[in-house]
Amino acid sequence: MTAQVDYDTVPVGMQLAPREFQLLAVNEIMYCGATLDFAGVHWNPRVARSVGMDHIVAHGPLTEAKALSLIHEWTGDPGTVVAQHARFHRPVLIPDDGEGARYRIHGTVTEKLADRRVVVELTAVSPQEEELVTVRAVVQLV
Amino acid sequence: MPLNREFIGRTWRAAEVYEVSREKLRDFTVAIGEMHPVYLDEEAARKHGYRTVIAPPSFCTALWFRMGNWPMFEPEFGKQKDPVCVLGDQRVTHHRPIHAGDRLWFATTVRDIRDIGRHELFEMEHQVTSEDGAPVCTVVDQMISRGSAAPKE
Repeated sequence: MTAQVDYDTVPVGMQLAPREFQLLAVNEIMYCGATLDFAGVHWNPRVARSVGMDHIVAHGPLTEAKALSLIHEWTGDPGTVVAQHARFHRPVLIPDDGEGARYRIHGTVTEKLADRRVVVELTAVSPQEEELVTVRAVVQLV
Repeated sequence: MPLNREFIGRTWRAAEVYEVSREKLRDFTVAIGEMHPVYLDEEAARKHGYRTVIAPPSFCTALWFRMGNWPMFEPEFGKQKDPVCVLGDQRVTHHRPIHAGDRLWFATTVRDIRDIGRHELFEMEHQVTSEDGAPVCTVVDQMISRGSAAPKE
């Protein structure tokens, strides 16, 4: 673990650099393959429609994974994530229109803990400013 | 039809070890759209202080699918094809990063099943341990079984 960020220099309220993501159907289908979760709602538009979704639904933990990438973009090392708590508020729907789903993820340091750890609240928001997924990450600094 | 609450407290243990391969970590890393070298390049991983490449912090959340999704497909559990189950909440505690070459054991315990309105919530705790029994990570999933709660009087 080689975190580059000094705990003493990090104030509560500090914003991490936000990231924009685009998710095409092929990205979600790759995730199905990598996780071996082939529930139809994630890759088959007919199954998605049958449960009331207009389009296939991205796996929640795929958005969680993308949110956690903001942590190593900041600390330089993914091993600095010591805990994460994801809450899935709204499904991320992926239209098969060549554009797919888009969301922006931003993060804020909300708490300083003992042992040189901090809490970062990460939020994925849709272009309509709906909260899709929130992740509370506990991050080990140096 | 409601889920079978007799499952609360039951634990299922995988019959075989899960061996983490470098290539599986590469596939998973690409699938989440990542390029960080500690996932992909052994030399870069060593420069970061790891003995070999490590898994992204969400990799452990996918092991349950590989291990067979217990108890979802146990007929007695009562999970129907319809309504669908969706993941509402996921908590992960890492005791150490997962490394390529790790041989992991996996156990799932049903911690709770309860009504939330018309739906049911069930909570599973997945314990991932190394061969010597040392904890590697814990994943707690809360799934929502839509519309399966028993009708209220």
